[in-house]
Amino acid sequence: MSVLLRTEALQVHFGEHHAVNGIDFMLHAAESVLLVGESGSGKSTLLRALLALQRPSSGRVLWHMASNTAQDPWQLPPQELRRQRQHIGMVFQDSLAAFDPRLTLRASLEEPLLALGAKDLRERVNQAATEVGLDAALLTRMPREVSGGQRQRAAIARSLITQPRALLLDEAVASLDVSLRAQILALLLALRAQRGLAMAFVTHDLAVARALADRIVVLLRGRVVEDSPADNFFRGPLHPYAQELLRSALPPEPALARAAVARVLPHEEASTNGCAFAPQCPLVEDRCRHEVPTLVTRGAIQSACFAV
Amino acid sequence: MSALLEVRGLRLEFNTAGRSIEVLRGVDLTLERGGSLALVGESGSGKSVTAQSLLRLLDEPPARITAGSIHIAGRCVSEGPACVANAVRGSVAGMVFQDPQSALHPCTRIGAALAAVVRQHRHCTWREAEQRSLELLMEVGLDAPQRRVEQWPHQLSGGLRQRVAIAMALAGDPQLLIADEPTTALDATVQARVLGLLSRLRAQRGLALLLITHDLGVVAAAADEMAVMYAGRIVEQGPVREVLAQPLHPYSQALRQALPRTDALPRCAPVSLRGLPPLPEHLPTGCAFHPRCSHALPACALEVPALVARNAQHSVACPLEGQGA
Amino acid sequence: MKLCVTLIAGCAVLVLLTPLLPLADSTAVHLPRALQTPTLDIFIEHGEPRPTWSGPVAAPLATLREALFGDAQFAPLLGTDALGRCLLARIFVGARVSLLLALVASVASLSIGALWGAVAGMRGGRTDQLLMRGADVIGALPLIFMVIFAVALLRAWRGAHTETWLDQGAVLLCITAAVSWIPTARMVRAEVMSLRNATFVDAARIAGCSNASILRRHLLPNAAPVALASWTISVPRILVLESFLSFLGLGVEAPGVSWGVLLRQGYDALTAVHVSWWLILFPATALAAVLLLLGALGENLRIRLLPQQARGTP
Repeated sequence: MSVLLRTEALQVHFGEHHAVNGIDFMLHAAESVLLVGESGSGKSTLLRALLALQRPSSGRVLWHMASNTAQDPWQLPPQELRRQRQHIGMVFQDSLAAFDPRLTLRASLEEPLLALGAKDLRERVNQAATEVGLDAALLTRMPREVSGGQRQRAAIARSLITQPRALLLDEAVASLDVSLRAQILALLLALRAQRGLAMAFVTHDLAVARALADRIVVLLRGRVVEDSPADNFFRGPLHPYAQELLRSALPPEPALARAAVARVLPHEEASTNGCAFAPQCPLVEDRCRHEVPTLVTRGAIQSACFAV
Repeated sequence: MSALLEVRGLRLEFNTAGRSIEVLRGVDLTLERGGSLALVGESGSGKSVTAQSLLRLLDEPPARITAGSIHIAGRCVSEGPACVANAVRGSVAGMVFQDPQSALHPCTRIGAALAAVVRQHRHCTWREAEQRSLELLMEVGLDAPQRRVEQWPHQLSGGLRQRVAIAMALAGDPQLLIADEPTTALDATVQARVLGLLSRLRAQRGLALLLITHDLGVVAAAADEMAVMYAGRIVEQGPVREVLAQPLHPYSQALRQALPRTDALPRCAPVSLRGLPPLPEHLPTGCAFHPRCSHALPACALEVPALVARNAQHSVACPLEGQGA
Repeated sequence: MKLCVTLIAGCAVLVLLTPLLPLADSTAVHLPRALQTPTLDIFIEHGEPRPTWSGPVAAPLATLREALFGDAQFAPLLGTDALGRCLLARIFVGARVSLLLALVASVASLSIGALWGAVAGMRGGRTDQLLMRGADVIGALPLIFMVIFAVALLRAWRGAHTETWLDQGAVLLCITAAVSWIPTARMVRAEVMSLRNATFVDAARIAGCSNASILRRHLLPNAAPVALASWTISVPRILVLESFLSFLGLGVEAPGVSWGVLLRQGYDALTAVHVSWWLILFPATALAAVLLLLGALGENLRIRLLPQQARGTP
């Protein structure tokens, strides 16, 4: 499997805050990776770094798009960087904020094509809209004149219009209602099957991860703590934090949901030395408190825990 | 003794730009003392409007209650100006919102904000109010409350802010807590902890809980009774155990199926509901759900089905009563 | 809002069509009737000297006036000044000068400010620092001294070059335009900075748009309401500035007419013996009324353009 996107020892700092703190991440062709983590885990910053919207503080981001050579987007000349962007699409959580309020949906959808100097704008936009199940008549409307589900479909159409090889999604279904969420998940699965698209999907919802993932990467405080094939993960993750995450997903069954709530660990502030999960961890050892565990491979799973 | 919360035939409309849009079309709710009821629905179903109308928190105008009654602890709050609800706000019924950030004044320390709310409800000195604030913070499970009262809202995480908001809602020792999507903005583990807190408070204080949510997992974890809302009406009502295990209304069934689950088949989207929720200004005739319903009968487009009791607790507003599935 | 727009539009039409109105000559000295009090006794007079208009718009309008009214024109209904000139005509002619000056200066300051703020907000970092500190320096210069200095330079220069188009009015225009763009620049910069981090700008960047096209397609159109709102504030401000400087004798000079010049002459005509109240009252009323209207219009426009800001955050 060829690699499309990768980061090497990526760090992104905002002043004292280390949002991404040394991540080696790879997205392979036609693979669907779910980046799971809670707020402050650095998952959105990682996506922005992958898209070259956020300059790394150290380490690097590499794109393997057009040629077989790896390119650092920050080393590319601006024009070449803009041209390379056609290979990566992005869908945001807040579809209303993701469209310019002063442009019609059609104008926004044309934008990636205009930047490439494409000609047959109208047809390609209509075709993209049809592909995501959006009525082309809606394209003349302003973003706030369509419903959230329709807007998110338009956002997906925009991200796919240049036929990218990788699609990055930031909580793309989190703000949708349950019935629409199922529709968009079905759409993403269908698009993936048709196009062999690689997806990196950021979420905090493991149920969404179950529906989409080949591989799950769990982030905690800017570090990867577990990287495992989805099937292994849902059978039982190795890292205690990943276990805690899976436990706190609430199924719609009273007995199970109440048991999950009863079992959840009490809140502790994440530690800044050693493993961030150490203050809450039931398996905590002395060295967890001052030493950061590195990812260790156990079969198909990589986990960053001394107890594994 | 009458129930703690009784809503009968509540109808509410918004008057904007000369048009009136009816968003609640006859809502009946009953919540006993110490009970817990979850109001479930998607955006636009009227669940949040119901919650806000209970304490008359909507701006009137444009909102206007056109029919029905709301009684909280025997007091009628639906008649007269919105300030009639002042008698119950905070002291009988407390409220928690989705976004705890907006519930806390950004330029007031946690302790001062909480003490001010305490002093709203009881005559006491600032010192006593501060003491009471510490107790409240302890009760909602904040570690080191002595340190927390000195902090500003932005220094707390989302989960802690929501706990502070709950402490504020409890400052007047209410019998009823109305929680509008209290965990939607929170992470999964934090959500589980806040729901655990709500269950503990119910047990310790005998608090009744009205939980507004769209997440069936939250309903399962925190409520005993549930009511499913669609287009401003309650379409199914009953014990959580029964409704989740055997939903009778096609909409409840679809909601349950559409929910992604961690124990589902991998790489399969859940069964999705077709179409879009209707807009309150363009409601279909008859049963509002019939255009999206896979079991719809010709009669469904003509007549609005009434909520019919299936057994002592479980009622459903569908002529099929679950037979279609 | 409707009333306000109607009144402003009415004023604008009157000012534009001044050459068409049967007004007396604002410059014709007529000493026998100096300091005549306002009167409605004689409404129309005949045979008086008629104003001459030049310019591509004014000249044809004046010809049309000749055809329409012949030698009939309004008598000095609002009284006359110390040289017997009709105050009514002078207020209209002064309005043309004052309002045109305010309009041109404010449009110039809007363009400079919007561009300056947009570049600063878009580039950020050192460019932003440089541009905004530059704006601070310009904003810190004392306006009155700058005007006095410039006027002194101008007078010296005019001593050497007698035939020149440059007058104090033009200097006033340049200086007002040069300093009044700073608030606009600050507002546009703040708006562009917050828009620059907006999700839809990220989306445009991902779409492969260049900085220039992001500025053109997304940032400027979305920052336009803020720029327009600041423009509506700057028009009345510049109008006041003009009147003030002309009153001090640093702006438009006699025989040029502006509202500031009229106020000055009214003030000069006040003596212990004789109070020519109309020479102060009418120009001041005109100025106050227009300021009030422009203020109301600006406020209304701001509410329309920036609803979130007008509503205020709790």
